[in-house]
Amino acid sequence: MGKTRAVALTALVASASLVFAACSSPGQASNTTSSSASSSSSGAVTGSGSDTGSSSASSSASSSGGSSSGSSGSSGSSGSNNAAGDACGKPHGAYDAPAKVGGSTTVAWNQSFYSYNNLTGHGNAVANTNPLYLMEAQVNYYDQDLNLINNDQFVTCQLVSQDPLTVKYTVNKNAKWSDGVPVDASDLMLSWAAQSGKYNTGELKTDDNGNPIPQPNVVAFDASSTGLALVKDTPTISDGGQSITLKYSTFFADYPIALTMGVPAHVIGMKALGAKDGASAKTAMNTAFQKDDKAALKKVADFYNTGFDFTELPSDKELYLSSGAYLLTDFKKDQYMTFKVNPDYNWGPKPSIQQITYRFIPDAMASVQALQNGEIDMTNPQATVDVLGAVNNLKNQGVDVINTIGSTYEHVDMAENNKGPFDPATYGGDKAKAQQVRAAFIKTIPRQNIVSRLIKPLNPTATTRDSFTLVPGSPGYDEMVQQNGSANWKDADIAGAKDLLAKAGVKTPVTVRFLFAKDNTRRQNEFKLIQQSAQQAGFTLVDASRTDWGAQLPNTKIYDASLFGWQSTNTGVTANCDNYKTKGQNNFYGYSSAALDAACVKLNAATTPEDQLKYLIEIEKALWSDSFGTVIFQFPEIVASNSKKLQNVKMIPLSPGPFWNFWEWTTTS
Amino acid sequence: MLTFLARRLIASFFIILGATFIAYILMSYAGDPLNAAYNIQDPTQRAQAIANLTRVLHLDVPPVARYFIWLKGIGGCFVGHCDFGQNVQLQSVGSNLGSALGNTLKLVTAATVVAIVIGVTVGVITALRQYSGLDYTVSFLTFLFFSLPVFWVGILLKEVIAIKYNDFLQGGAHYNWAIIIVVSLIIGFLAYSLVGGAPRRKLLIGAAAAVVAFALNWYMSATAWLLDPRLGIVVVGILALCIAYGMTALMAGTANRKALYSALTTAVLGIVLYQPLQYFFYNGMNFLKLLGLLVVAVIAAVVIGYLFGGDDRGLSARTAAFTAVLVGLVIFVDRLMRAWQTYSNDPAIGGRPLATTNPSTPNLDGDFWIQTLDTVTHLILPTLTLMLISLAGYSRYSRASMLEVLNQDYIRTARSKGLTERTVIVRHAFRNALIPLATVLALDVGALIGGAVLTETVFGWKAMGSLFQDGLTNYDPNPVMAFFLITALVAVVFNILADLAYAALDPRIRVGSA
Repeated sequence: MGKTRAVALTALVASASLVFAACSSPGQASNTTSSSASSSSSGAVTGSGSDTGSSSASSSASSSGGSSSGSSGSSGSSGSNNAAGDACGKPHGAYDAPAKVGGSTTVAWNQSFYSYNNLTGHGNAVANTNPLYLMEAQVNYYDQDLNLINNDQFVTCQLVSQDPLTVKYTVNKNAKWSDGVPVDASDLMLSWAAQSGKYNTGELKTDDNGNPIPQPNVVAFDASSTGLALVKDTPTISDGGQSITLKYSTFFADYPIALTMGVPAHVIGMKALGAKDGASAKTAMNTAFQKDDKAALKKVADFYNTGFDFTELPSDKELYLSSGAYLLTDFKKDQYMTFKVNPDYNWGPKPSIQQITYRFIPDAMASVQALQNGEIDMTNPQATVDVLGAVNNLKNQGVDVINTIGSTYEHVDMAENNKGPFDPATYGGDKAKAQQVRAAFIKTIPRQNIVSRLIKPLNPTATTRDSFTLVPGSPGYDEMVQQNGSANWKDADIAGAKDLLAKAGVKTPVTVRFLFAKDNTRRQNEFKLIQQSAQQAGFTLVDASRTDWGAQLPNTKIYDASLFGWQSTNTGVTANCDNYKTKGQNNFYGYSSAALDAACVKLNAATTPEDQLKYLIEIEKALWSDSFGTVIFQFPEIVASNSKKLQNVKMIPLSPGPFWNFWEWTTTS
Repeated sequence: MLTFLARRLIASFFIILGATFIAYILMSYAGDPLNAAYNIQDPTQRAQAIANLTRVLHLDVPPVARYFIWLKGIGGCFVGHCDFGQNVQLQSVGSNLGSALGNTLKLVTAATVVAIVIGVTVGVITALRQYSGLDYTVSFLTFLFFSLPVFWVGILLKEVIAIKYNDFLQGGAHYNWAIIIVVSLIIGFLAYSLVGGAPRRKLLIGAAAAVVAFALNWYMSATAWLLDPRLGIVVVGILALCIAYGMTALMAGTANRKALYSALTTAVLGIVLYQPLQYFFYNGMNFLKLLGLLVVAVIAAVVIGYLFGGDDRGLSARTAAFTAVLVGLVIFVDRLMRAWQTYSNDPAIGGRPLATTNPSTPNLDGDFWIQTLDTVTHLILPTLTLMLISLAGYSRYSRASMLEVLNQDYIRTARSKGLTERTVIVRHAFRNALIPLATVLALDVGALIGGAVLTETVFGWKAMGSLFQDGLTNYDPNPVMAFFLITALVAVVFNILADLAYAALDPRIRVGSA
């Protein structure tokens, strides 16, 4: 069924910052879908670092210049120029070493790890990203306020030029993989090569058994990135292999999160190309990329795609090397992973906990009882009323409960291209009339009521989400909400809706076919609340829910309004336009606004966060005033931790959620 | 016999073929495995994911044809190359199936064995004490357990047996008087209901049991015995002699002196070997050695039985063998208890030995005994849950079957010719009452393999149930079909086995005569 669509979509390239929420279950169930976007981003989300922006950029720059020494003198020079050092987030500077390293803790997650390479299409899932976040040093990561922080103790990034966009990454000379081979530019080279699509000569093929590949002479990396696809020339490596410079063919506003560290290049060089040691493996890899040696690249791509997939500790230690704070020391299938502190790690934030055990407990209530029984110290269970009640009951035992928002948000879109009630064509091309009907419909959506009835029981601090493009709590969100015009749509306004319908002069009742996930109870409840409210103003909502709603979204012939979730995986801005611009790949609704399209062009060329926010506000003003649709709430998340044993647990709505500050965790056991 | 078997196997083959076909078609129309892929917002990655899955799961082929592609992979099993396909995460279902099946067997075996032993015992006893207070109480309880939802029982057991018990251990393992008295009274009442005879005798025995229970409980509380439990050679010795006497009473009658002496000799041998065994247990113990010990013990017991000779040397040998197994079990449990405190104080356990989730404790180092204890503490709750649910079936069936047999004419004949009550019940009634249980067992094993879904979820085990459940939620056909195939096979095979067992147990039934 998806074949023609698949081909068509393949042609389209857009960066990913959002993913539909899983239809079947809220919260963590979106695990499986969470990451696709992250091939470009979730990697970027990883990392280390801590005290939220407390250290100044200048101090960090100088310290990085000093610590990376020698050949990385270039980073020192970039350090003198703050703007240049910002090319992949705000440089953090030196991290404080913990007073002492010791103790252990156990945390739970609901899905088992299955691939060490989370940049591939199938390996890209929170289940893999979280453990990798503990093991792999990160170029950058998000802090509590969703600021992008660059771990400049590991990699410094210098914006060499804006036109053409050129970014230079320099890896700390001391950084090394846990087998002793240095982490350097050739690893970044591999990350670019795999995701840029430059070397792919054909699609990934699988045999009858579904095993990827064995195709002669076809190179097919199972990874992609919108940003890196714009880097068409093979990057140059300099500074004795420590630096790599990427030159973009066109400007890309989200360049700070484009390149992330992936799997070790030298391991592939040894396994796939038969190199004897790390140095020669790196050389062989770089030569293959530079000379575009298809025979070698085929072997590289084959190994890259599936060579790092495992569900228990592999006998080959090279398959799970660490470049970060923790070493993977044990992995028992479907039960747990054990991480021990990497004694050599000094190129980023150092954790104070000696050992972290990462257990797999699929059932939310089971993880709460395990917390109660002291088997685990932290869990991030799927938010249900029962689970929240159960963790709240544990508060008197010293359990801390964080009620917060997750990465997925619920929203309603309306089709303007199906000759339905929201399409100008229905009214003889009268755009204003169609807009009034849409505005009336949005006014009937009881946003507050939905939040208080369905979300507050799961997250007492929940509020409506009032922005199409920004995650609540991220930089600029408050300013956005003040300016984007969402205040006009704060809550249901039946009288206002009736007025608008009367003004438009349409015959009531207006029938609206409403598409949402059939097997999702919460969405059914939302539908009922919207239905009741809309009826008062003269809209008759027809239940058009389906189990294959995701596949049917582009087919607006069968629905007039849709209700589903998007999932944010980073704070990149460019992907927003895919949702809203004229003929955007995720704008299924025929929405078109000249003002928004113009703002998108400017946004894609915007170089500073201030400019980006300015154009995002322009985009949202267009969306709200054109009555494109509405956003309702952010999915609730619960993090419960045993404060008697584990302290300083925090949570951000983007991957890796509660793990983002693991180096700040302290333990008393 | 052979034609019967061949006929059944061929019929079963087509049944499975038809069933898998229906299941596959239903599964492929249930939902779209691409759902998750459609949820990816980045169009490039979405297209890539859809293309990958379409190829791997052959979604470009209609479901009927897809079934035959699947069947071809399964057909490979006949030439030693099974292919169960891949799941939506592109993992091989075959390898997942292997580990899932292993975990399920671990989970289900103990539960089934314990449920049968306890269920049948309870059923027979309630049949013998029909319409007594005991009968009503037990009936009430088994039906209560039977009607409770599994997930709820699981959560409740975790709360009461694991969490509260661990709290109790951490609090010093001292009971208060109320508990001691209530527990003693319950035990007294149980003893009162169990023994037969005149009310005076029943009361006396009940009171004695209550007093003994009271003393034991008081001792255990005062010495915090539960923190560091052990039996010691004295208790092991008393238990061994009791077992020898009890086995003889049950199997041969204490009047059979040769059997009694065989059993007692075996028990004494066990007591004598108790101390030397501790050294044996200490060095590089493993499961194989344990099994070897059991075999040696049984052989020794059989030899003892034969040496005592007599007309009924087979019976003596059997009695001694059962005694040996049980005495061995007591010594084994005693040794496990000795590891308890070490286990409980391990930093990975932290003084809370009973676990609520997963099949083992992460990062636990320790010898065979520590690891075995770890398995026990993780298995005990799921086993109890499964057992409580299937207990009702076994106890009700065996009770009904026992009652029916007891009303048969030949039982009256046996009684009238002067056989002892023990012989009538154990030899004539009990054996025949077991025959219908073969059917229950066959059905139960199939249901347990497939039906432990909720128990697995509640206790965080990744076994057949989660394979099935995850497959269903993702509309992922291959794991679901793998689950379905295995449960179908188990159901069919156990049904054939039940038929064969019937023929073997009941001479009135002959397979193949049709």
